[in-house]
Amino acid sequence: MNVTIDHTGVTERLGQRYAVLGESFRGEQTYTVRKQDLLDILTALKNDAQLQFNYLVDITGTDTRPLNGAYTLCYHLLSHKNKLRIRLKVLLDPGDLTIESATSIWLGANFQEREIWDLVGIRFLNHPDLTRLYLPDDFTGHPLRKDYSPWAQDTDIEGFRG
Amino acid sequence: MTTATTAPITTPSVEMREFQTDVMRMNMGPQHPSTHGVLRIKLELDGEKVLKAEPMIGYLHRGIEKLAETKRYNQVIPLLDRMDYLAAMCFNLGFVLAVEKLFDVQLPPRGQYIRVIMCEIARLASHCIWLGAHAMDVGAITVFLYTFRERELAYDIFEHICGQRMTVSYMRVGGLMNDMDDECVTMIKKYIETMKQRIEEYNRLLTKNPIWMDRTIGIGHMTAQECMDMNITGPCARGCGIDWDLRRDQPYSAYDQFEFEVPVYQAGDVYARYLQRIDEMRQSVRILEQAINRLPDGPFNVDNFKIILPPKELVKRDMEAMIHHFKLTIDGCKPPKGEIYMPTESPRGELGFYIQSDGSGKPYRMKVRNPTMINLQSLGRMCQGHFLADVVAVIGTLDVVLGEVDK
Repeated sequence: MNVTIDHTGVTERLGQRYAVLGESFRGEQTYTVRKQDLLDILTALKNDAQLQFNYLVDITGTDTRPLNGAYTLCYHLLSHKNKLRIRLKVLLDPGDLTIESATSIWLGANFQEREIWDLVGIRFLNHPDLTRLYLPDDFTGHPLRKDYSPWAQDTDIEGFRG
Repeated sequence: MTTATTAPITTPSVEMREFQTDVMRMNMGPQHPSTHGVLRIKLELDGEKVLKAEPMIGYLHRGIEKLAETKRYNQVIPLLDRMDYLAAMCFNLGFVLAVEKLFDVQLPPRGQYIRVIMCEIARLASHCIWLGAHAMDVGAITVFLYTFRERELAYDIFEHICGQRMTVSYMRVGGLMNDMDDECVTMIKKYIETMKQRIEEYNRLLTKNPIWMDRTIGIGHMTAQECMDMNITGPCARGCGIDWDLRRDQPYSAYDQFEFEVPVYQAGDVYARYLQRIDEMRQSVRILEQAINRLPDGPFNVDNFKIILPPKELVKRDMEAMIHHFKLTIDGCKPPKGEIYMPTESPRGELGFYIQSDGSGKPYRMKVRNPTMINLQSLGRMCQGHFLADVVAVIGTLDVVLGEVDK
């Protein structure tokens, strides 16, 4: 009964159904999934009796437009039972920066999704309270985008001009 | 004097439920002594009862992730010191391990041991501050004075080894700033002996203290399932019955070579998390003792001058070392293209670094999974239904460091 599952096990149980492509780097497995499948996959990974990915450790939003013309969301999952981590990757078209919120599956996604909305500008649908997390509510722009300059002289925020 | 018309004095029977009370909205912080920095909590109160508590953060946001994209890998380390200023060594370690994972290199044993020693001292110092501040918040000021005395000893060691007390910047990608000398070893051995006694001293001050028990038992209760749903990690989760410690379960650096236990408590309240952290301090001392007694000799940096600066004497007489020195100073170390996520166990939970490298000397994207920010989400759940005065106990148990929460 107490079978430990490794990356191949995950691919077997899930790969044929959802994962578009699996790549491995330094022992970390990445699955690129389609945006509309994400919630199904997260639910399946969480509830599968063998996999039991009980932690959604981290969500990262990245502006990867210079690399592949899209925004990237990375979901890092952890299974205590199998001591295993995987990464789910979703590519978002810059024209439609919305995705279903994961808060219905993990409450803890709340702040992380607010952070991504705040800093990267990806909108999470059906999120309970999608407001800025770090920056003031009247802030304009999303600083972690690559076209947002980190230097004070380029910003037009009052009082911040160099 | 008495007349028959005087109504007999009776105590009015008070039924709290019959009162129609208004819900009061109140701000706690950002300038509040027990919020450990600039944490603001939006409270909804019904009398003294907390109906809703919502943390509002961002008052200390400095945009460290954005800044990191403009800096070379080794230049990121001082920024991270300013995130978690109470356990800067653990943040140093998390970051350099992440970049080393990109390079796919490992430190020689001596370097790994020194890193473990420094991290465990930082964990002890951080738990000392947590304990002192936590106890002071709920009214036991004495403990604060004692724990700050021991924190000084830890910071003296840091000052000796790298010249800084809090913002250490001691670790480098592929190694350390400098070696640990014999005097430092003596200091650490003395520190271990002191801590062994002092932890028991804290234990005697608080564990059976009736006021402390009254203020903490049954407060801020969470179940293991709720912890998983909210992705709570670290001592907060282990106090709720989740048996998971990255140092044991996914060991990094040299943690797999030490013998230690992971204390787990099932009760899930503030008191259980207090006991958990006290036990964790004992285990840290145990790891320290093993590491310092078995400290290996030999080099402490990786043998690759494309990652770490060559020794200064070599640079002065060797042409190739000179070139490496120049290239590293101008361009920085250049990890290969790729993306990695490196989790480590910080004193507050799982500290993760997600680094995406495009092959240049600066990270394309560096994301910090800051454990306290995610743990802080449980504040509302923990405070619900308790009194206003218990909110400070819950903040204390979460061990909030606002520099880390706000990035």
